[in-house]
Amino acid sequence: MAISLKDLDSHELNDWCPGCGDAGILLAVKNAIINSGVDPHKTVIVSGIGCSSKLPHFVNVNGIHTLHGRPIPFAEGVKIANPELTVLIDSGDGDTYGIGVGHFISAARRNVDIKLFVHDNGVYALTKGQASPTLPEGTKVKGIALPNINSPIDPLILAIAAGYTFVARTQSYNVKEQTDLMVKAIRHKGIALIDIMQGCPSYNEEYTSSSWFSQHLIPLDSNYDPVVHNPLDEKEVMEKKLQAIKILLEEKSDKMHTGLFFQWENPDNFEKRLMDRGLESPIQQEICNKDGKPTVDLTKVVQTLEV
Amino acid sequence: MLYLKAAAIKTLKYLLKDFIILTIALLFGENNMVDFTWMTGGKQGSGIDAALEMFSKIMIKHGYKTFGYREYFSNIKGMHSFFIVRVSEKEIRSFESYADFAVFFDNESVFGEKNQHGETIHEGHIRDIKSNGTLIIDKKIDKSKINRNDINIITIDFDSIIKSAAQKMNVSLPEAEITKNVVAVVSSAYLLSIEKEELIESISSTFRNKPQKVIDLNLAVADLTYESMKNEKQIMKLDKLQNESLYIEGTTAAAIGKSIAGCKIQVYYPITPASDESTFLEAHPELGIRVIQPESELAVIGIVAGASLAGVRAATSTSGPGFALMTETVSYAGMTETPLVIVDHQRGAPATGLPTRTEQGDLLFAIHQGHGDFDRIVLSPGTIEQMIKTTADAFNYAERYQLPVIVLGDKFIAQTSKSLKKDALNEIIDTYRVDRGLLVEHDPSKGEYKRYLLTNNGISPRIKLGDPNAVMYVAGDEHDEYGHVLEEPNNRNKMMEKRNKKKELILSELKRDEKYEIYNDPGKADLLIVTWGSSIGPVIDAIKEDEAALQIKLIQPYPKETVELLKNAKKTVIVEQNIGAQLKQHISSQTGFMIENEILKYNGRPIRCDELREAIDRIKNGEKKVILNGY
Repeated sequence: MAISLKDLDSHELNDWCPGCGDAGILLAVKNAIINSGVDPHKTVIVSGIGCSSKLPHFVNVNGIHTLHGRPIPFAEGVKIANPELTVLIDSGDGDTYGIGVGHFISAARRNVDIKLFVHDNGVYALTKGQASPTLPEGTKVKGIALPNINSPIDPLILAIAAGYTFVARTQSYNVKEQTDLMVKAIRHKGIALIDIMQGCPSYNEEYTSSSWFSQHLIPLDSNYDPVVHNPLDEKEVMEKKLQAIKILLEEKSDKMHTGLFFQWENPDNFEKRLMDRGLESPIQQEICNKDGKPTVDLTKVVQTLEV
Repeated sequence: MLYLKAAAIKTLKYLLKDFIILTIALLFGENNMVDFTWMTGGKQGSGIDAALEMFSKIMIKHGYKTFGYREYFSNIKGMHSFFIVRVSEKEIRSFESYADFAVFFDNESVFGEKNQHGETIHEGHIRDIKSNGTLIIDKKIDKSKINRNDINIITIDFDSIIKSAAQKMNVSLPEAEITKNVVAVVSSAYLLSIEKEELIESISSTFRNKPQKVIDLNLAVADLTYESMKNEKQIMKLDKLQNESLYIEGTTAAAIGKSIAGCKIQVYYPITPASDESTFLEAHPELGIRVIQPESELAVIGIVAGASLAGVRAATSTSGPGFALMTETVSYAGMTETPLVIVDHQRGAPATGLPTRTEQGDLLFAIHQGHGDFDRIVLSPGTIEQMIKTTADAFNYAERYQLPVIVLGDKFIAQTSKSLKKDALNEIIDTYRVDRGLLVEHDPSKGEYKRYLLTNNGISPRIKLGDPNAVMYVAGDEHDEYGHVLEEPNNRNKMMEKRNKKKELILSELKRDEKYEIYNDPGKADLLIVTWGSSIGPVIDAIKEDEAALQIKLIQPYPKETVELLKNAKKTVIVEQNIGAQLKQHISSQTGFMIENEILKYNGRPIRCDELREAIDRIKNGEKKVILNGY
């Protein structure tokens, strides 16, 4: 049964600022849910804290609004517990690349099948515009008294180095590009990052406006092939990673690319590793019979305790 | 204090030297019950830690109950560790300060050790041997430096036994060094007149999962040790009894509790003394438990919460520092009414504290952990049997009341190893029933699903993520019944009251034995001892008929009815392994009753039965506070 955008409306109205890029991301998320054909009841959007992280409340799918910096572990927990669920994360750049950066890097070691849609606007908007980890050094935005004293990180390079198997960049006012990338990410098996450069008209108008994006962002060359075609070919994996990192390293902060940089459907995902140990899907395991009597078989455990 | 039947003594006198008769007397408790303490020790990494398990298993196979404890430094190789096994015919829950016999093969174990600054690291174990006790030492240790004329010293040539075995089995000498533990155990067992065949069988069983080469080497060492002891007089004839028991450690008990409850995801970050619980579960994939070790305790508790929201029973196991890192998510679980099970195997704190030593210092933290007001349950099992049952119960409570449940263990229980009757384990398993509370599939005829539906008792129907009939919203922000963010003051009041009235429901539904235990009759006792957690073991073993004990198992919400017992008691004393008398403070804040006397221990070592007995007597004689310092 086909669903429409209207079906995906929740009865909550968003309270984002007029012109906020989050509205474009919200529309793209709904489009992607429809276009990828996932079951809304089996879809979960996990978020952190900040403007971006209010998003789950505005979509008629399951929404888990967690803590600042922690959506990744929550999402991993959901997916490991019930591998049938589609698990998306919408959170901010402060959340993901600042307070939660340890999870951001470490999640790649497990390659759990979760999708990170990071609303990246260079500022902590909800706390009135402080510098986030992606704001270039020396940049003065409205919410800080002096130009940013910290240098930025490049989340895409970090993601590729850490082991993300799908790495892309887009921007919040380009709903079509976002939708296409999100659908690809959802269909991809493994951990995916889409860094979404997000317009923040209130605290970072100068560097995140629609016109700034159209002047400074260019799509990756149409000949650029981000996909590892033979997932078991280590050499090809390395070449595709190097190709992506080279473009990213050569980018200037005022001339960046959008599109899919790297995709490797690495069959060694966490679900497979757990299944290889004989550990079935937790949600599918009966833990007791109708009377509540535990069903676990402790025979082997008791054997190890025997003297 | 000890008496053997005169006739028996006469016969024995005829057979043995006076000295040995006294030793036999010491090996029996009152009423001629076998009850003795064995000790060994050595450098960490030398294999000596396996001696505790080997000796315990020999004793258990021989039909006795054991209570074993290990004390070690936060170090991998080289520092001194020691091991105590108490062996008895009756159920025992504690150990004593002095050993009836001991075996050591390094100078440091016997004489102690100082560091480069001349500070004492430990004082050596000569002082730990009972008068008339027996000490087995390696030939290399200078016997003349041992200033004890009241103990029997037996020397064994450890090196020659190892060397012969290594040659015989064709392994290198350094490789064979690790089998000194077998020399220690077999020489000890010989003195108890255990037959060689039985020892061989026991040792083979202990090493059953090792390569054949390892088993053969250990058996060769056992054989040579036994033969080399042939000229030594045995201390006693330990009759073989017919008791079938298992050998279990505290962390395994927690792991089994989780398994019974249907926990399917265990998440942990390495920390002493908790990690053994998780590694045990990981070693048993047949339990179907996904054991995950992510990057930090922040990740750990997030994964547990995520899994719980998906409708799977999930848990973690940690100790103080890791528990502290989980704080924000515990508060989140309180706010979002998400079931969580956390086992905190407490250790010496604050900060990194004493990583390998015990303490009951997290009680007040566990009760108050997390910003803001929300109900939670804090449980404290005191024995290995209680650890199994309470840990399993924790999952039922977490789901019935939809809140975080903290199980407070400690290093004392976690790393105690003891005999456990198979029937006792089976009874726990057979009587446990999984109760998932209001976990439902949403009925669409009831309209849109409200995760935080306001109900009389504060509990709302909970669905699993992925419910075919509903979507669920969960928010750590204040929320309306749907789970959407709402800051409106009337809604705030209703939701705060919803989350903070669960305690009444919990206290009304839990049974007496889920809340507290009473030992002896407080109405007839001169002294009521109040305690919690691992302190109960030594309390039960130490109290006399005119003393009673109250063990609080449900720490939070506090069972206020216990105040009647306190008010009616002639005299009260708290026994805790912390400096702040934390349970005493908690009882006072919950009931207004101030327990008048204190027995406390905070040197990082567990309470010993005999030191507690002495402290109880001092309290009865009018002292208000006794600090224990047994090492």
